[in-house]
Amino acid sequence: MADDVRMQSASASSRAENSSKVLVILAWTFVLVPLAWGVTQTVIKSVAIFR
Amino acid sequence: MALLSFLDRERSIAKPGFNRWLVPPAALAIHLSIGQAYAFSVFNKPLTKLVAMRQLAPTDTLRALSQSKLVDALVAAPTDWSIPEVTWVFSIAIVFLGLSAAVFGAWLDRVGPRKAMFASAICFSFGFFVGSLGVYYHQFWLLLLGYGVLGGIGLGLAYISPVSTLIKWFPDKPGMATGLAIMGFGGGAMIAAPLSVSLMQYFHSLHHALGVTGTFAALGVIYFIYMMFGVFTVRVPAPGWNPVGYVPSEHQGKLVSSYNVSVNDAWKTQQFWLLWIMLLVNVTAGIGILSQASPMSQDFFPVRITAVIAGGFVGLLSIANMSGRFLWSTFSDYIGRKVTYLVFFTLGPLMYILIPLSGRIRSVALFVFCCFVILTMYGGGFATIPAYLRDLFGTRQVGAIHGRLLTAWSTAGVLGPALVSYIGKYQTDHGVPKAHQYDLTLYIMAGLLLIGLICDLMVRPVDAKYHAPEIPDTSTMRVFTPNPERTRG
Repeated sequence: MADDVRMQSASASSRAENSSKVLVILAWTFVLVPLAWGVTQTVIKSVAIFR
Repeated sequence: MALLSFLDRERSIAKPGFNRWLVPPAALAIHLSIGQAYAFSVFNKPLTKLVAMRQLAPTDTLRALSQSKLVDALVAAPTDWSIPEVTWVFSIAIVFLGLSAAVFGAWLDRVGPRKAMFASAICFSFGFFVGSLGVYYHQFWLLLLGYGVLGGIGLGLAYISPVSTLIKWFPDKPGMATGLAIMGFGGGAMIAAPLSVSLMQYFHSLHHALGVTGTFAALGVIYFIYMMFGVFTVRVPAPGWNPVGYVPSEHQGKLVSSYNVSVNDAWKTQQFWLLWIMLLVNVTAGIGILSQASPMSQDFFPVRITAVIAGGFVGLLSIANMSGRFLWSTFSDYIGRKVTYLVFFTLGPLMYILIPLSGRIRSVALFVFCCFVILTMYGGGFATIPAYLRDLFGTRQVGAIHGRLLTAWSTAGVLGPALVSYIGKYQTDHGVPKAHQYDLTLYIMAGLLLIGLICDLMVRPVDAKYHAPEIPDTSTMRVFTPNPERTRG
């Protein structure tokens, strides 16, 4: 995956920190769900202007 | 002590295998939290009815009323705070946002984003708790100290803390990366407004008071927990790291630096002050629309747009503000920062001039379109400026430089509303009809944007005498030893 980070420099003692795609999806869900809720609330209030 | 060492920059350096797409959600969590500031106005009315509310005996009828109806039904007691007093809380918070960003920017670059995010979460949450006490005891100075000063310091620290980290993780698309985070600041209000209203209704049902005290305390807890997600998730890239396949030379335009400028030298350059003025005029012009959107829409279209619909219209502008932050900054990765601001400062004045026309020809669609485009560029201006700074001054101290530039926002936060109210009063005093009272303000805002256009056209690469010597980042060298064989770009 092109966006996977390959560390260009690391000491031998540093352990690998594999962040799976699931973790990335969970992190995005954690921030996008409240945002989507807020946007939906706003859209519901603003549709009246188009009526 | 273990927690404190966890916050150290060395402990936040990403290890092999870390996916950089985890950093934008961390940044977004921080910005979604502090974006609450834009929704502070939901507390304006309740904060002006606190004493009056305490003087009333709770009745079933009152309890049955919704929060907004209840507030409207009450008349402020003589000792209650006034709306102008309450709006000072927000203004002070914005002033301290700019000041703390300017003062603590260099510290942030030194200690890393994790410690700065943690400090910001403490300040922002503690600000709510102190503000809650201020509301409970009806002490205005406590509210001002809590939400205005402490909260404002938290806002400034939180605003800049993820930006330079994102720029370092996404050297191939810095505009998109910073846009993702700063989009959160625009979107946070859309979460905070309905959340705050729901919390006030809940605490009102418990205590028969307006529920502001409980809501402030609850928001302090909620935002602290939410911001901790950002603190625990954020990582900084190891020194010398670049994304796979990224070749800087192929992406660099004339204005994109391959050097670094220190924060102490940056603000001596003409480029810094040109960008400062550009941000100032863009924010001032945006405030000109934001502060007048509701009354202007009702005065332009008195039958068509009611107060309720105008409230929805303001919400629509919040969506424009948020989406513009992501879209324009992402777009700037392809067309360049200078061209992006050229678009803002040429399309912007045109939109401002078209707004009075939309009122005259009774076109709601044109009015909404113009305001929407203006607000996308208002947000876009905020989100694109960090990438513009990175282009001109390099990545090394971009966080600190960004912090100092945000004093333009604080200035606009005071200048914008003052300018709008002064012009409005001038128009009223001279008997200008209601529907035309906004024209002069809009034309002045268009003129301000033209000043921004001149500044943008004057931006040139930073003089070589300001370039900092290339030195390794000693704060991270203790952990990582550069491996030349694996270093790209």
